[in-house]
Amino acid sequence: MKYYVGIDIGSISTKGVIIDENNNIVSSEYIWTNASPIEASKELIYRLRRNCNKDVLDNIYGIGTTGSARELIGKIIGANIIKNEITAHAVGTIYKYPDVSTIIEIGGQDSKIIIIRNGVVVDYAMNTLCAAGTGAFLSSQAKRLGIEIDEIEKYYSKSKNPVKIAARCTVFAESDMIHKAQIGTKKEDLIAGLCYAIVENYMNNFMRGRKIEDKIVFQGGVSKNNGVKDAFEKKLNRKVYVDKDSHLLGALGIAIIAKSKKSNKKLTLEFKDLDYKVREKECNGCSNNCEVLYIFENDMLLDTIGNRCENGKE
Amino acid sequence: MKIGIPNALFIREKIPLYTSFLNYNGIDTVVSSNTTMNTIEDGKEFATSEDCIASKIFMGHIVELVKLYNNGYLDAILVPRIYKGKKNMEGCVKSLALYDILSSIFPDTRFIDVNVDYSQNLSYFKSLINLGVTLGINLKNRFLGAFYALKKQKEFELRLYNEQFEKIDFKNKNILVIGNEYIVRDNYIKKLVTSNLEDKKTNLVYACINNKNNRYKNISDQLYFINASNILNGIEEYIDIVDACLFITGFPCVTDSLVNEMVKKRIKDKPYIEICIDENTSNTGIITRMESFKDIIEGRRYL
Repeated sequence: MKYYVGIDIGSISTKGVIIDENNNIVSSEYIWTNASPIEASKELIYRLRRNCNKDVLDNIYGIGTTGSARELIGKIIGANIIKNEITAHAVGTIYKYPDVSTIIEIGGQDSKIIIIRNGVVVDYAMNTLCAAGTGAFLSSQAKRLGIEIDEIEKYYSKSKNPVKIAARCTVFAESDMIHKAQIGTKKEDLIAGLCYAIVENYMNNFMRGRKIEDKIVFQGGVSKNNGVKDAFEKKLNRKVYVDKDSHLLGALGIAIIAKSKKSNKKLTLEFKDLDYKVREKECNGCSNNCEVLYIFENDMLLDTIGNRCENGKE
Repeated sequence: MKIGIPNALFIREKIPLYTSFLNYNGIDTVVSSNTTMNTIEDGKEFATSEDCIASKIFMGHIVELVKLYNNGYLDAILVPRIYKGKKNMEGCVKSLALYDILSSIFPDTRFIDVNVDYSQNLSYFKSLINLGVTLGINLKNRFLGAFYALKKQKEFELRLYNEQFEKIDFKNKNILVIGNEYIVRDNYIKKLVTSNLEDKKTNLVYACINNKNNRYKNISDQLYFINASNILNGIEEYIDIVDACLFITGFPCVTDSLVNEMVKKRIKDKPYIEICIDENTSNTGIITRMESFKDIIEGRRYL
């Protein structure tokens, strides 16, 4: 049996899976990135290895990385495929829900919509300049109200009259919320208002002008929040599916993509116990002035990311 | 005499016009160099923070020319402005104000302004004649120079158009790049955005390079901005032969904000993505978007 590894290093959390030839997950892990993707991946790989027997670890034929730190980690662990998270998420979701048409994804700092027709991605959109209406917005507002992020659901279910909050901008939403709180609105109504605000922001940004068809799958960290899911269902007037493994779908997708390479070369899944350092420098080799990331393995240059020409590979 | 010409904003596409007119009359020209990261850094210092990225880039080019002026390499800097639009159509307000803004920011530099008045026929011809008057060129040379310059400009536009048309190959994927000429063809923005798409199998088609035959009226015959009409012309011309569309807009752009909905409706079913850039946009986010856009165009199945 051949096995494939998929690692999704996001801004907030790092996820990993090992799948067999039939796409069954044999090992999976989910940990916080804590702003240090190298440490997080090291820990993740250690845990993934711990979960598996020797037979699995000796028969790995593909390693894929995705997520915002995909290039860095991919180069360090020697992945044979590095792909963007949009494609990876789509592939993972299509595997779980072959009839999916719309993927709503709200993560820690980005939100996107992926439109799928007949199992192929045909359109997508992603927030560009602003992170309003993402997980970061929700957690900062929850903090402001003095509640934990996982309590949102509890408050949401209690609310009878959600207030209207502008979610176009986190700063304005905050002033809106302060105003509503000062005139005596209940906490649960404020929180329900927040959930609706996220949904409205999302629909304004991404669903305008797009044909939203069933089945709708909701993923990303915010999907674990039933309040937002419920708000989506009410606003869209349709059923929204949230997979119990929704946080792993990106990693699963990249593992399937690694499998599709049909490589016959055996790979070892390990994070060498070496010292990795990363230095960012503006390259002055030409007028491009690329921001180049130099990765050092025990003070030896391992690879560079971001250079557009040979000048950056000093 | 030596005159500097900024290689930015709407002046970009008319560079051959101004350089050939001036060169014909024995005046040397210096065109500012391609935009780099440093250009934007320079521009940010002098532009107001609400300015669009294109204006900041423009300011960077001016800074480069002003440095040359202060070192005595230049005698003046040419800043044409779109003074009046066509009937019911206006140019971007920035273009009207440029000369005055620059004169007040750099009071010790000599700027020469030329008004381009689209409301009259032969707008560019007349603007060159007026430029000739300002520079003290005699009547005969003014006319001859203007004819020569218009011919050169036409040749330049035709060459760009033909080159683009020859490159379209239906074996490859053709992507229509939509946006103002000074955004999508700018050196810096090209490197930031479209260079991520380029490879042997993809070919970029620029909507701003088209045969200018007023096809925009098929989409809407009432457009407020002149530059929008050029973008829509290109879309009408190429939409049926391209595989996907990419709209690059500079933040905040008033002309784009009025056309992007129209564009979206016209494109209908083709893969379409909108990229909004400002001077702080890093390339990591854009690489992710471009990569996945490519995956969509390929339409590959992994399962």
